[in-house]
Amino acid sequence: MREFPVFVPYGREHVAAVVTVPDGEPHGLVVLATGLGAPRSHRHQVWAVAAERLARSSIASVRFDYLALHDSTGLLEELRTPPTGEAMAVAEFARRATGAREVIGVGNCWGAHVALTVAARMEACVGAVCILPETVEPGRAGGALRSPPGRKVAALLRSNRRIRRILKRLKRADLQPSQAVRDLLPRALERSKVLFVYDEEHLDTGRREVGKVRALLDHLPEDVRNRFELRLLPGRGLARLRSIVVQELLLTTLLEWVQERFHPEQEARRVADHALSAEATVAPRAAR
Amino acid sequence: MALDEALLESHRGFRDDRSGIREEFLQPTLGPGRTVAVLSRPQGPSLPAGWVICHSFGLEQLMLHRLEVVVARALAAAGFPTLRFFVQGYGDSETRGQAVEVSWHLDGTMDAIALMRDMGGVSVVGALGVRFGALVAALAAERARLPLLGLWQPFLTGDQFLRNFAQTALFETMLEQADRQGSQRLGGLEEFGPEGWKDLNGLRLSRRALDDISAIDLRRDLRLLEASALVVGISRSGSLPQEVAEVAAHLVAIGVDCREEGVQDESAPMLGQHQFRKIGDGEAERDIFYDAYRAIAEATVSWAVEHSGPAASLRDRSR
Repeated sequence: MREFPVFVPYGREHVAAVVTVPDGEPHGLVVLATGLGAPRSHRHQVWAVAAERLARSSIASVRFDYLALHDSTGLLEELRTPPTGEAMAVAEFARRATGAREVIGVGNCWGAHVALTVAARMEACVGAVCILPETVEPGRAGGALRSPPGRKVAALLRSNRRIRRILKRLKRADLQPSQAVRDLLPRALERSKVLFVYDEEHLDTGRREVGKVRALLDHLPEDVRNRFELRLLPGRGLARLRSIVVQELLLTTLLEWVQERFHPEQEARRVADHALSAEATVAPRAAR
Repeated sequence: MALDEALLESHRGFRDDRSGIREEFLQPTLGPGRTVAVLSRPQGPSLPAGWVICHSFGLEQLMLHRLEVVVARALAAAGFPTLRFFVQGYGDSETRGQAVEVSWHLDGTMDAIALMRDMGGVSVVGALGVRFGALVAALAAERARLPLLGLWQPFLTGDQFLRNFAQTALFETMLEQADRQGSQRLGGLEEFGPEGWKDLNGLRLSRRALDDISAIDLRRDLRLLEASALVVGISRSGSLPQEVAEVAAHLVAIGVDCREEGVQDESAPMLGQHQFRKIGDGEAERDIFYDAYRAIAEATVSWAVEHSGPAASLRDRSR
């Protein structure tokens, strides 16, 4: 394995990134994105470890810092939207440099949005792993309460405890799939497989959110819909990679899933094994 | 298609005409392994004083990383070559997924100082560091007899740092109960499994690292230092926090020429923790240390220009 730290030009700025290449020709490229605040190697070096393990499976990867954060250039006091532009620039650069034909986007939180963007926009992308993706946003009512005059009304309503409780329920009911999910997920699923990953801590939120996503998916043709997969990791702490156990579970899941995408024969074997074990037992797969 | 190594190599660095600096990724062996470092330099001729920045411990390394970057680029813009790097066990270093040793911090810093000394045109090296990184910078300055030392929010002892570090960790995991049940000194950090390390919110914290940090005491460990020092404290009031003032007092007591700088910032108690706060209903995130980091950089550059001896005079001659 070899690693190349680089500054990828993006407009007037430079995105700090590390390209990891395996010995020999790579079977594919994984774009590793983080949530807001984490560096390219991620908390506790989890993406650096992922890069090493991917390289051992003959898969190249690139990890990067968002603009104005860590080693990237740029000055921003406020960040408003997941920075997808620089992620696309990094993905294109790394694909060109490594010679990889196929790409998979991987990320948590904001990085999940980035992974979905790569899957939706990049012709060569065959998959996206979205870890705790933000899949919902306020609907019309919530949006109105976020506008400058709406904020004043919201503050007034929040001052009453009973109204606050009702408001909370209404807000929940008002949630709709986020624009990113509405726009990007169907496009991504046209050619890529998409995996959403949650843990037990986020099960409740995840179920509610996933319900909205499922409803959206129901409108898609079956073959497209079937490219979507959801897995639940046992345990807690996925949001901040807050335990070594959850870090290892995530890395194992990620590596398995990516290998199956880049080595289709492995997926065929898994499907066959799954079919055999399904005959032997009726218990569902724990992590799905 | 094959690997395009030339493309990768040609992107190791960049030049920024707006700030007048250039930066380059290096992959030196620092301490017990290979790592990634960034050298920031002016586009024009460099001053003869070079700087090495020492990062903090555990997750604080990544929480405070942007401060190092902001200061490194400000120093480079003022003419100083400045090196920042990952200690083994952090970031892109080759040691991954292992419990960090304190010796890796110190040995890595000593090697980084040697690397900076070997750079053409550098005749004087200074060390800088924040929180635990300040302890490392001070110890390295003593060992390497450095004439320049800049400390941001330093502690006088490793125990002081650990108490603060433990409070944050315990707050994060709501382990107050464990704290109440015993181990008052460091809030439960001493409880280890048979493997010699514990999982502290995803960090492998080893007993040895804890003991080694605990053993640091600048009152005993700094004796030979003959340097000009800068001590920056950040607080809500703008005055030096107690631990920071104690460090400054000790430096003065051993004969160090010490400048104290206070930075006022409402978010001061959060230094070393997640630096983004949601605005409104979460439609945006604000960097709460945006101004404070620039204030620290400004204070550091101003002191560096004034105190880097031959470097400063060269700069004056060039004006």
